Amino acid sequence: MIPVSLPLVTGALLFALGAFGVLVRRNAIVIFMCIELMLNAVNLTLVGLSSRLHSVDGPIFVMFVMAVAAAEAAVGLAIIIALYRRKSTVDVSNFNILKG
Amino acid sequence: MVYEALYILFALGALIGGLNVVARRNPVNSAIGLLFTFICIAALYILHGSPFLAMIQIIVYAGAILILVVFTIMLLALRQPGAGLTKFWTVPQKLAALVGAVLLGGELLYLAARAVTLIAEPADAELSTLAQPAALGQALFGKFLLPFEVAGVLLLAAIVGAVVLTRRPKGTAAMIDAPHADEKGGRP
Amino acid sequence: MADWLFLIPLLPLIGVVVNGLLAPRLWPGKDRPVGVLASATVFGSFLLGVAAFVELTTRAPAARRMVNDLFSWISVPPLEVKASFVLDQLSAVMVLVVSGVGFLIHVYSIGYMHGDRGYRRFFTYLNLFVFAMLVLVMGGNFLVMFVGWEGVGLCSYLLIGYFYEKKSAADAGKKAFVVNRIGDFGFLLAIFLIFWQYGTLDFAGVAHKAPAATKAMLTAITLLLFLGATGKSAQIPLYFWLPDAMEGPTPVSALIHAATMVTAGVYMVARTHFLYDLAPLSQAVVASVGCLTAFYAATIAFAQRDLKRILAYSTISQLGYMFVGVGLGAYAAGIFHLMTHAFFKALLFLAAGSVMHALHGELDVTKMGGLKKHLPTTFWTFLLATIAIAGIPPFAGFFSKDEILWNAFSKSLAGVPREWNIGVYAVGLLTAGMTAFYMFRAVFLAFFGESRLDPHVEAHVHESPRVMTVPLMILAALSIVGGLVGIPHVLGGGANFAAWLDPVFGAKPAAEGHATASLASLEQTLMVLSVGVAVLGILLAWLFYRAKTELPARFVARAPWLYRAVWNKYYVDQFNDWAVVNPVKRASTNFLWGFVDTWIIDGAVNGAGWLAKAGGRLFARLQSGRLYGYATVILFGALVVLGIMMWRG
Repeated sequence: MIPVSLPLVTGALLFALGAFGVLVRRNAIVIFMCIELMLNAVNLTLVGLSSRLHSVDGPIFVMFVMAVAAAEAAVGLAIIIALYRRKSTVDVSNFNILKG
Repeated sequence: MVYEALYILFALGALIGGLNVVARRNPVNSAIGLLFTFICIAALYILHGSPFLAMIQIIVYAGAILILVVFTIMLLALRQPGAGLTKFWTVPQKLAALVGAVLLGGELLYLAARAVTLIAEPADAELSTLAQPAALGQALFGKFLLPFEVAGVLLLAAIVGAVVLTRRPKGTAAMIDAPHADEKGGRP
Repeated sequence: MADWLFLIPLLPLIGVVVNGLLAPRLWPGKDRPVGVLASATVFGSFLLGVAAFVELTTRAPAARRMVNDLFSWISVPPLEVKASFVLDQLSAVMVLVVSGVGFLIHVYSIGYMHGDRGYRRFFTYLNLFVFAMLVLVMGGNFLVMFVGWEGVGLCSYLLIGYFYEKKSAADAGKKAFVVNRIGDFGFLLAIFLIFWQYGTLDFAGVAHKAPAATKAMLTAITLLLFLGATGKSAQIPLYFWLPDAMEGPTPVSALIHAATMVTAGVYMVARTHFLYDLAPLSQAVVASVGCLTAFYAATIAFAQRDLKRILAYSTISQLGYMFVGVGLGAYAAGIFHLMTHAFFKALLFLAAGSVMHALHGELDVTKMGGLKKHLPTTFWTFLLATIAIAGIPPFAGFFSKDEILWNAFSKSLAGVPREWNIGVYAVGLLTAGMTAFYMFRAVFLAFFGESRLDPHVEAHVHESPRVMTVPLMILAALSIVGGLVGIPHVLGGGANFAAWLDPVFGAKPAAEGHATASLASLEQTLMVLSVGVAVLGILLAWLFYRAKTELPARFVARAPWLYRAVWNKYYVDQFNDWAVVNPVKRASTNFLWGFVDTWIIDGAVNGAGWLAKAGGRLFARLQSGRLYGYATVILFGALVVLGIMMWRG
């Protein structure tokens, strides 16, 4: 009933938006949020296609993505906190010690 | 017909939420935008015939991940003066990012179009109601048992990692005493 | 059947490994076991050689050929080369000479090199040499022989430069090696041509197909082979390394530069007789060069004062005789002289070493004199050897030298006029007389007359220990009786030596009754003539150096330019320096070093380093440490991947 183009297009746009956000924002937490945005776009695409194709693999994949996103949130934010303790800032332009 | 209109409505909502995430200076405003996106996407899942997934989306994303993010923002007491659009990088960087993102979007759209042509559209397709808890449960504990267990281990690792990463040396103060963003130097 | 042939060269190689690598562990600090082991391995090879010889005698003359193919060495079609050892009559003779004389020299060295710091090194190299030489004479194809050829060249370099701290010795080693290399170049070219022409490098194979080539090709191959021989056997034009090679220890001079290595060229011509027989022009060249060299070297020997140098030029001269023999196609005669020469020349060198040992290194004959009462054994053996080399019957040298002279006179080559034969014979005869003269000059100056020794040296003069004199005596015995195996028919002998070797060369053994009576009496007359010339030479030497000792000085005063020319060896070394050595040095320094090495090679190496650094600097820019850069790169990478997916559909 819902043409499959809709979830695909929405997912594509959301993903591009999230990618743009990762590249332009300087606040580490906001970058993280943009990544979550990208993950959601992927989820949407998966659900959209699997509903069209009558497959149960899509939603299963979505659940795993969510689990991984949760784990990623925990660890990522812990890293940001640890970084903040060192440098008193979350502005990523200050983190360049790996410069080679 | 109605479904389509609703779908487009919620899709636009998700996009607007995304724009907020990317463009607002205050991270709290970005978090609100993200929350809005999550809810719209949950609605879209319902429209796809899977209320279960929608519930999980709300619970996990909005109810856990977003909470974590907000907690972190608050804990670090990040103060961004004023509202409005955020400070970006230098112009060339912005340009490159824009170009990259546009190209990405273009490619994805192209692929989407191709996928659409490949998938035959039946005239009066029934909404798939496959993604119900029963079917999902069957698959999860049947075909996908191993990934399921591994995901459990992954979550355990994440918990351990988070604890280890944020451990303070013994005998020091708690997080509340974290210095403000405009102070120099910090507690070791 | 003959699977054990490879043991013959293997034993000395074992000596090399044990002495060279294990000796410091097995018997640290002790020298005697090193020398004994080295000598024992060579003696082992000699015994195996005798066994092989006996085995051959039990077979019919046409079937006297044992083959031991160890393994397939090169197999790149169409080139198939096996590590093949062959023992036929010719190789058997060579093996016995090399290992037998080599063994005696090893024993001698135990005493001669006693107390030297590099004792172990000496015996290691000496064993290595015997190994290489045995490989050379037992090789069944050109490549195995070449391995041995190069091996003896290497050992020659190592042993000539044995006293490497002395500049003249090191230079002499280099000179020998480089000059040999020039000859080896000719040898290699010949090998290439042989393979190109015949498709095989096996001696038997090439012999079978030999006639299937143009005259020009055969001549080219044989001349190139001979170029290699001139390098190794010190003939004109590549002889001048041999006198310098006397810088090496005396046993080395005896073994390598008298008895064995320098004879490799003669052996090579004999081994490849099937090619030479088809190229009479090359044969004439070989014989002519040999004849010329024999005469030329004898003239230089007249004026030399260093005892070893005299012997060195004598070696060059006698090698010339051998080449006359094999050049004429009288291969058996050439090899016969090779064998007898090995006996008396090795003896001469070892006796000279004994003199050196007694006089603490003095070699100038004008500073010797009256040694015969101090060094009786050395004197008697030296005298016997000198009589042998002069060609007085029934000593060994007479039979072999005479065989060659007779062949020079009587054996004609296709397309070569009789006058050439007469000329070669005449020069050969003259040189025989000269040989007798300068050798007895050495004897008279060193052993007879008033002592001109330095008093300090004279006080310490003593005869050498038994370990040195016993080999001298054995070699002296061989020098006396060694020729008796080849007594020719005209003197009632069985010409056994030639009969033994003839099947190798495809010659029909001369039947007793074929020689006409006049031919036989001609041969006998010539023999008497050569003996007479030799005796004349001895008498002249006696005259000049015993009876009227003022004669040499008067002679020199009359023709000082002649004396100077001969004394300076006809300025050949100076010419070489001017023509070859200095231009090469200049070109190397200015061009090869200044330009090629500094700019091209260093430039390439340094450039590679610079390139790596610059590349590194460039790529280091990627690691900016900035999150933004990394993220952008990831994005663009993803774009590329997606693009490929789009393309491939």
